[in-house]
Amino acid sequence: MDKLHYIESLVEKFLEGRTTNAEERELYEWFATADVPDKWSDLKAMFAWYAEGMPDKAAPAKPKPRMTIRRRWWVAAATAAAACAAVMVVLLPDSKSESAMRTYNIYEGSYIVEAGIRYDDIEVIEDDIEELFARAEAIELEANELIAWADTNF
Amino acid sequence: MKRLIFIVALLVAAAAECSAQERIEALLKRDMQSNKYGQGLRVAVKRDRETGEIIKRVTELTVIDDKALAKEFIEAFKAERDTADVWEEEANGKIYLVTAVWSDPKRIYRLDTNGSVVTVYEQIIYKEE
Repeated sequence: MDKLHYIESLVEKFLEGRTTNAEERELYEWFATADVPDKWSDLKAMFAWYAEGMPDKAAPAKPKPRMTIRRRWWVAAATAAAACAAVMVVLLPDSKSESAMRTYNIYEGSYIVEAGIRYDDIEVIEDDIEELFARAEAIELEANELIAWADTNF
Repeated sequence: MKRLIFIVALLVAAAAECSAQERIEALLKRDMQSNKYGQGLRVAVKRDRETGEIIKRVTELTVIDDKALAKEFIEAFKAERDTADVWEEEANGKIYLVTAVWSDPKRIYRLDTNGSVVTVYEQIIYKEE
């Protein structure tokens, strides 16, 4: 198998969420240093993003509050109230989005298949993922009890 | 309830460890790629927030009304019994449940057969949280 075919098989494995950490590092390094074919330019960008630790590019910079001088106090109060409302409207969804991005990134690569249809939008399948991890945790606890039992008795 | 529990704790050579659970893995991978049994497949990956490296990967494949496949998975699990670090098996009528554990990295496999429903579960832990 030549290098491109090998990389292609690793990419397929990656998209199925089945690569090991070593294989992922190999992909990051190859896409960062090799002469990547044009058809894989999207993959190059994607692996660069992973290699950089999946930065939250969508997270916006927060605007700095501005001081305003008014001669009449009620104008100042009204302005402040309006500014607060505007800040609430503008910043709250972004803050939520920023928080969500941080959460979703840790599940990158997860997917589910139902009735032959694959879903990999983390926002859509997040509940399934968390339910599966909760079950995984319960099974791991049982496994740990078995290991402890075996260690004691053998 | 008839309950059979077998615990096997084995010291295995590094070479043997490399092939541990590979029959189950191969079967699981074949069915995941074929998409034939795609009515119930969930793959959950958890990554380190700082490095992006995988901490844990959990795969769950559910198959309904496929005796041939159920038999294949049962045979694959049984074939790996001697390579497992820990093995628990429970049989009760139509229920057949196996939990097998390998270490380094820690891998937990479970086969849950209940009548016509077969669930194969794989958990690989690359890094303890």
